[in-house]
Amino acid sequence: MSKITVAGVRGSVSELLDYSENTKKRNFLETVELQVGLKNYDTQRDKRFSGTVKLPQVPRPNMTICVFGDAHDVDRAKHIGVDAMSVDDLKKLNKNKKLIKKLAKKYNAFIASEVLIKQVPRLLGPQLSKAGKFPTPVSHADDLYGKITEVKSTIKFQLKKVLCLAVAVGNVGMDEDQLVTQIMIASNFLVSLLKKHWQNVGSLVIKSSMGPSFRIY
Amino acid sequence: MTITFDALLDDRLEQVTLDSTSEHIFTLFSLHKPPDKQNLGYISRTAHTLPILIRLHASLISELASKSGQQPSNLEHHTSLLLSKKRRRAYRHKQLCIPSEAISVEFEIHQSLELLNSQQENSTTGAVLWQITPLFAEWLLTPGTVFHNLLFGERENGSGLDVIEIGAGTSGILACALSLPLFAHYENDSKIGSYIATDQSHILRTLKKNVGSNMPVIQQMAAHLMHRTKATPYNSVTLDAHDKNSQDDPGEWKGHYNVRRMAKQDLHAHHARGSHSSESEKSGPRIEVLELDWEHAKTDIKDIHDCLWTSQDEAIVGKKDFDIVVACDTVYNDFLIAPFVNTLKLLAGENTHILLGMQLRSHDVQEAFLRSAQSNNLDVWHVFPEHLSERMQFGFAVYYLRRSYDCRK
Repeated sequence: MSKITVAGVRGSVSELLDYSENTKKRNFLETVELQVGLKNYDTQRDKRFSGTVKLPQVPRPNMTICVFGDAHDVDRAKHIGVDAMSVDDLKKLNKNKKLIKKLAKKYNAFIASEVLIKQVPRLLGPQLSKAGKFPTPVSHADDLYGKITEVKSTIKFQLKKVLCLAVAVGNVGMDEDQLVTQIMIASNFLVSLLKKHWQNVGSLVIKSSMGPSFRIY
Repeated sequence: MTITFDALLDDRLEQVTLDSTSEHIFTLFSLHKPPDKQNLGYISRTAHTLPILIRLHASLISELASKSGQQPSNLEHHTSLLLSKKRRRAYRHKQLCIPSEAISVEFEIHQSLELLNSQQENSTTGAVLWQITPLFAEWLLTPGTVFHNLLFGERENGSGLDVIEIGAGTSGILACALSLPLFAHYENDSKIGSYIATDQSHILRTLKKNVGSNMPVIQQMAAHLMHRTKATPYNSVTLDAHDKNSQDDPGEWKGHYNVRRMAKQDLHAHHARGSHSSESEKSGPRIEVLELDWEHAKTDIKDIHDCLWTSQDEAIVGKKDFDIVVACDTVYNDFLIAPFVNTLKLLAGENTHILLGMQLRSHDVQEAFLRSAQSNNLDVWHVFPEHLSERMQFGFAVYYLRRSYDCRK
C-alpha cells in the first residue's frame, strides 16, 4: 500500500549523503529532517493528530534530556552523565516563570521518576505543558539508560494549525541503509495518522540541516 | 430519579476545576499517554463492514442467570471476587449460578468508505468507527463501573432513561449496547426509555443502516441469554421510515431540511397508528436516529424535542431534558470545541448527566475543551484511569459533566 518505495527513497538518501559528505561537509553532525506537506486536510473538521513512533536508531544523538528524579534516580542519571534535578532543585526555581521557561527550552525532553510526576506540575506550573514536553515516567525497576535511549529514538508527529510539519529522522553520520529504514518507518507511521492516508499527503521531502532538499513523494 | 449527583461522585472521580486543569492535563499526558505507534484512532479505514465484539463481564452474565433461574455452578467462586460483599451474600443466599462461557455480543458495522474518501464532503470524521466507541460501550456495560448504576440501576418510578448521543458517527454501537435489555427485571422492561443517536445529516444514512440491522440481532441474542422466547421489540419512527424510503426514493436523504421535515411527518404518522398499538403491547425502548449538527444545535435540538416530547401523550408532558448525554471521541479539533460545548450546554438540564469518552490526541485541544466547558457553567469530573477497563488505560479518558450547581437554581 505504501506509495514510496525503498529504491526511490534510497536514491534520494544517497544524493543527500553525497552532498553532505563530499560536496559541502560541515563541521557538525547534520540532522536529516523529514518535511511533510498535507493536502485535502480540513483544519476545521479533521482530527488533529499527535502520535509517536520509536525508530531503530537515535536520530539526534546530541538531543538534551533532563531527569526529574528522587534521590535514587538523580544518582543514576549523574552516573550515566545525564542532567538531573531533584525536587529541591525544582523548588529552587520558586515558580519563577522565566526560569521555568528557560528550563523547558533548554532540554528537548524530560524524564521523571514515576512517583514524582504528580508533583511536577505543582512545582513548575503550566510551562512544560504549554511546550508539550510531558515527561516520560521511569520507575526504579526500569533501566534508566535504556529509557533515555528510548526517549531519544522516539519521534513525535504533531499537527499544529498549519498544514506542514517537520521531524528529525536521522543524521548524516548514519549509513544509507539505516537512514532509508528510518525514513520508511517514519513516513508509513505518519500516513497511519492521516484519515485519508496517502490522499492526505501532498509532499514528503528529506533534507539535511544545511543541504538541499530531496522530494521523495 | 433515585440516582442523585452526589451519590455518583465517589472517589473514583476527580473534579477538574479551572485551577487544576493544567495539572490534570500534565498528569494525563505523562502517565497515561497513548502507546507507541497509536494511529489516528480508526479501527479500519479499508473495511466496508467490521465485526465488533463487545465482551460481557462475567458478573453481568451471572446477573442474567439469576433472572433466568439457572442452577448454581462452580464458577461462582471466580466471579464472586468481582462482586460487592452485599452482592456476594445475596448470591450465596439465593444459590444462584454463574454460567461458564464468556459471552460477547457481536456487531456488524458498516462503514461509509465512499464518504471517508470523498473530496466534496468536508466533514468525514463520522464515516468510520473510532476505537474508543466499542471500548466505552463495553466499559459502561461492566457491572461495578462508575456509571453502571446510573444507567442500569433501579429507579424509583420505573421510568426509562432518555438518552441522547451526539456525534454518534456511523456505528450505532452505543445505541445498541445501552439498550440491551440485559438489566431488565421483567420482560419488555428496559432501563433505557429512549435513545436518540444524532449526527450530521449526511452520516445518518449509514447510522440508520447499522442500528436497523444490529438492533434486532442483539435483542434476539439478549432474549436468548435471558432464556426468553421472544426479543423485546423496539420502537422507532425514524428507523422504519428509512427502510421504506430507501426503496422508494433514494433522493430523500439529500440535505438536512428533508430529514427534518420527514421526521415530523413520521411523527404524525406514528401518532396516528401508535395510539392503538401502544395500549395492547408494551414495547421496548424507543430508538431514533436524528440530525443534530453542533453548528446549528439550537434549531436541531428543538426539532428533536418536537419529535419526542411535544405530543398529546400526557405521560411526558412537562418533560424537557434528557437524563443522559453520551458522546465518544468528539473533541479533536479546536474549531469544533465551541459548537460542541454549546451543544452540551443546550442539552444540560438540571438533572442531566453527560458522559464523554475520549481518545487522547492533542493536549492543547483537550485542555481548551476542558476550559471551555468550565467557563460555560459545566462542572467537569475525570474518571481516574485505574477505574477504566484495562484497554482504556493508555491514550483514553472518560469525563463526566453536569451543569454547575449555581446555575441549576
